[in-house]
Amino acid sequence: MTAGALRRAGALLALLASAACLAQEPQPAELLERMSRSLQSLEYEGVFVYVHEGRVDAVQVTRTQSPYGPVDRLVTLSGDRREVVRERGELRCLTPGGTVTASAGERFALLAPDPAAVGRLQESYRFTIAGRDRIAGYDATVIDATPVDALRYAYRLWLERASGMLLASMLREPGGGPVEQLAFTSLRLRESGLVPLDEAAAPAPAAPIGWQVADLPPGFRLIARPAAPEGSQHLLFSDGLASVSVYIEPRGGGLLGAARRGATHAYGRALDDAHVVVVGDLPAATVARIAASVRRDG
Amino acid sequence: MSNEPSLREQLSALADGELAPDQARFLLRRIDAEPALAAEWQRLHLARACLRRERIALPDVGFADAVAARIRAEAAPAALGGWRRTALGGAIAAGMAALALFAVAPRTDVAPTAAPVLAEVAPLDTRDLALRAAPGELQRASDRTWSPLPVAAPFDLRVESYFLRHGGAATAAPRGGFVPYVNVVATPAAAPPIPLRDPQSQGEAARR
Repeated sequence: MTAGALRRAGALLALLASAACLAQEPQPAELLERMSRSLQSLEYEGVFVYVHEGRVDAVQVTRTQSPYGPVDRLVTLSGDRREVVRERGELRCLTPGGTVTASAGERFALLAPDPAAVGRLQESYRFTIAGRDRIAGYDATVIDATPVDALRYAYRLWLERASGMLLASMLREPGGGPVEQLAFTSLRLRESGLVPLDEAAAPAPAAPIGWQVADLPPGFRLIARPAAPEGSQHLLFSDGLASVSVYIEPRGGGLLGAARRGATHAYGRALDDAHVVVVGDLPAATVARIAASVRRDG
Repeated sequence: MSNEPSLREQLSALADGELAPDQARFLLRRIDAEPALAAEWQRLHLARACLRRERIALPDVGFADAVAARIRAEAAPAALGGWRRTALGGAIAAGMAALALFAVAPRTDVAPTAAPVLAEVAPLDTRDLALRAAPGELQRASDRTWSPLPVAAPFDLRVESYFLRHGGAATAAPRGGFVPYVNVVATPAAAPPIPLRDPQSQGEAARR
């Protein structure tokens, strides 16, 4: 074989190899489903850096699986020691100011993601693969999720190529700057060996009683009604990436006005003899708008 | 340059806070611009700290140089994506390490590189930032001033409870797992009071 023929054969092989690589590149929807599954079913241990509101926090995270559901532990390694522990359906947040406990609700079993929920994402976001990167030693595929309206954040997600595990993320205001950034600096992943329950087979949550949330952004659906104290309701809506909680409680002592934690905003208002608080991974104006739209049936 | 006796004396006077304001500003500008002078400035501080037996952490000059070289080497693409531009706002406030971590642009080439690659950063320098920054948002390093650290929000059991319960519920959502707990565990910053406006009109403004 001549030198020219060898070069042509080499070029052809390179072309075929790159075509094969492109064919193997998973699509964004598939990657997001993997992300959802990995976040739920893998066991992991690592340290990530979280940038929010002009602060940088280093946080150690551990997730293990038990027959009673996932056990999560997050501890800050910078600033005041704060810790969140989730175990056997109970949540504890330990801070220098005090400890808050809450029920993690009934949905604390290991759940497989509902593929339909991931599929519905296309209603609210346009997905593109932005490229490849490397985070905490893992190869990552980078996905941009651009919202179809100005009511929610844009996302850039760094997903581990094999498992889909979230390695880094950046949330951006509609047409604005980043509001929250997270990136692992070290991470260990393990298969848990537990078989997730089929979330899609679970019954759909019942509609709220006596109340309606009239103005949710398009694409949001009621996905859960977590346990709430008697006389109160907690409704959880999601568009597949962002989640928003609506709390309807008897009036007295709840949040009035706005509060914020990173990219998560809250807005509370009194409504007759009730108190409405909305907490969501959404821009402040959207959260306030949802709170304003809560009204009694009829 | 840094061997000039008068310059050393000026550096020493600067470290003692005895240099006239105009001279100090001029010298700090030179320190910013001249790596040799910056190294001299660092050595002077190290020597003084050793004399005072202080435990100090100096920046890794090699790392900083490598990052700076990387920044300079980046060609300034005409169509800088919004992500790359905006990523720097928070990262500058977080310091160089956070800049290197977060202001990353995904690599579209997948060719393996033999040498370790520093995180890629958007091609901006401090002069660029000084020009772009809104007043009070960002300041040049040569100003030798820092924004005050964000104050932690006062502990409020009810408010913490809402965020915690939301995190607990959202953990089963597609972007779940540990993610919904992150802003619960992170130190909450005391936000400036957000005026209570008519939320309906705020919501309408968000519509496109």
